[in-house]
Amino acid sequence: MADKRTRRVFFTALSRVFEGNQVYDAMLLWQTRFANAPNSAAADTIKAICDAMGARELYQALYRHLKECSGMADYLLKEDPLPQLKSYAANQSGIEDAPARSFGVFVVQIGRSLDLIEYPNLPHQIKRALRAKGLDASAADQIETMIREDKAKRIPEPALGDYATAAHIIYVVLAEVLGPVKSDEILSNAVKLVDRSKYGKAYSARNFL
Amino acid sequence: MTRRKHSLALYTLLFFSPFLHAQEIEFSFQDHLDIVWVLIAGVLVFFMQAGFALLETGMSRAKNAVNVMMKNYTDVCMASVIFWLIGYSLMFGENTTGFYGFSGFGLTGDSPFDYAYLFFQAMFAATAATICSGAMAERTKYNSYILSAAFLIAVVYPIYGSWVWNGDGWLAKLGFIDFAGSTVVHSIGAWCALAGIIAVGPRLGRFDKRTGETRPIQGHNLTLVGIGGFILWFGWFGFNSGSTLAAVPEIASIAINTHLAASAGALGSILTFVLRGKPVLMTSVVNGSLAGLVAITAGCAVMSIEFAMITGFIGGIICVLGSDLLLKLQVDDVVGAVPVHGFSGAWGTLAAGMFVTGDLFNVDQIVVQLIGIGAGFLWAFPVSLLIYFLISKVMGLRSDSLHEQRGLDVTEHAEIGFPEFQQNQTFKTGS
Repeated sequence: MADKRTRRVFFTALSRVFEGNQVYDAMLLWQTRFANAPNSAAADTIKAICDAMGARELYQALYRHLKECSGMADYLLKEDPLPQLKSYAANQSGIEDAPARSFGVFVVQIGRSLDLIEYPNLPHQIKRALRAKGLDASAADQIETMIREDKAKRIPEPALGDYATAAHIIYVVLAEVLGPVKSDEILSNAVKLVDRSKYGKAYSARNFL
Repeated sequence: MTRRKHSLALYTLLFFSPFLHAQEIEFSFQDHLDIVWVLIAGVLVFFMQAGFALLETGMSRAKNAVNVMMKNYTDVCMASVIFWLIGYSLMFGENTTGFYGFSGFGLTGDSPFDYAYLFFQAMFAATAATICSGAMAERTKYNSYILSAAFLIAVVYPIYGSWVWNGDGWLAKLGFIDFAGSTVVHSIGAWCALAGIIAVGPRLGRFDKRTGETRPIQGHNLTLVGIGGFILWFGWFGFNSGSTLAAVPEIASIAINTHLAASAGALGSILTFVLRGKPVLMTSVVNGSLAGLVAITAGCAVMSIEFAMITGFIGGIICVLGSDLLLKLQVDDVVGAVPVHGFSGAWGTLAAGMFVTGDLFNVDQIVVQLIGIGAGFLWAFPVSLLIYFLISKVMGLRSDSLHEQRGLDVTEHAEIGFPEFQQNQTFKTGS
């Protein structure tokens, strides 16, 4: 397993999560203890590295970045470690499905920043954009409702896919309607507010951006 | 005309006496002075890159600061190597057709004149290339930009340069006046930038799709813009006065023309805002002074002080009006490179033909100037547009919208410019 490609995948993933010399420490750890682990144990490997580095809260972010490495992640994570990762994250945060709930609060915070009198169609435009990018219809409906009704609900991840993708689609719609400066401001404020909530503390809304 | 005389002397020295060795040349005191002056001027032009980098970075959003700085930094490095390898020869090599030079690739001549001239000209090439980086900032892929800049330095800039600054160039033979490069350097760079802007499209959300309204996107640090403007102004004394290629008394008049044109350009810009009853924007005043500098570049050696100021003043006005025109056309030029370098450069080149001391408003000269300006646009714009579209098809020119959201600093370079106060921006920097 410890071929060049795998090494590259780990390095890319770790360097996006850890900072400075921590990346090299993490790589050293991987090289000395986990380089020969089979692909199927990739999730355990990541968890073990994070544990050893004292960076448990980085665990989910690391997994998300590995997923972003498209083909490389598939190669590395042949067996889907999602359930295992999620239960680990839940144990760590003490909140079941913290990312989904954090995302729900995030969407509501975005909705609170919008002037729906001046832009009454904005939630619908967001829904249409989400649908156009292949998001599940019920999840898109739910997001529109949450923006309009100012009430957080749990969005099931299997229906939604990647939260960061959904947040990006919302960002693009806002940028086109309100301009990029306003869009940046709305999302930044939403992140700040969500991170003060218990869900945000368990799973930072910065992971959605 | 001093420039042409010296160009021809250097050209002769470079290409017809390759066997000449430094130790065989007897240098006079004036020769030493000339070489030192050209080198100092080259260093001043090199320092202009810092000015461009600061100005462009300051006018961009914080999340793209590293990306803009990187593009400027890379421009200098690439321009130096590529211009030495290819561009210099296409520009100043043996020019039998009048349309391109072709000899002396990868110059290794051992005359100090060669080295000084190559150094000076390489800095000019870097200046032309770096004009595009600011115009296309915040949404252009780094690798694609670098490739397009390489093409500009290797082909677009030197070919046009050979028409004007190579003694056998067809525009040179017509008597086209562009002393230090209003068109050769600045307009050519700006037309390439215009092509790039069109090919890459506006930044996400810059224009309202329904109403066509322009949304302002404020730069993150206007102090950098001001400092960048001062540095460019400072470097321009080398750009224009150094183009004599000799330490001659004329450098004094060129320097004062340059300085007053810049001042008048800024005042022209201010007056335009005041007359329209709008607040005077610092960024526009800096651009106004740069427009004055660009405008006087062509004619700084042939004009009197009064006409230099008029040229700069009108350059400043053109810059403001040109920026408005681009916005109306929904062309997103982040730093105003096209109005500053393109429109004002074209005006300055025309003014160089109109305001020649002792030969004012010579119609024949004005026609030649117009031919040169038109030829520059017709060469640089379509060729670079084609290149940008090819790059766009093959490797993609525009960044993903996700990268625009997160900022090109993180997505292209895995670094951020201001980690202390960017923690809550709309892009991830870590966990």
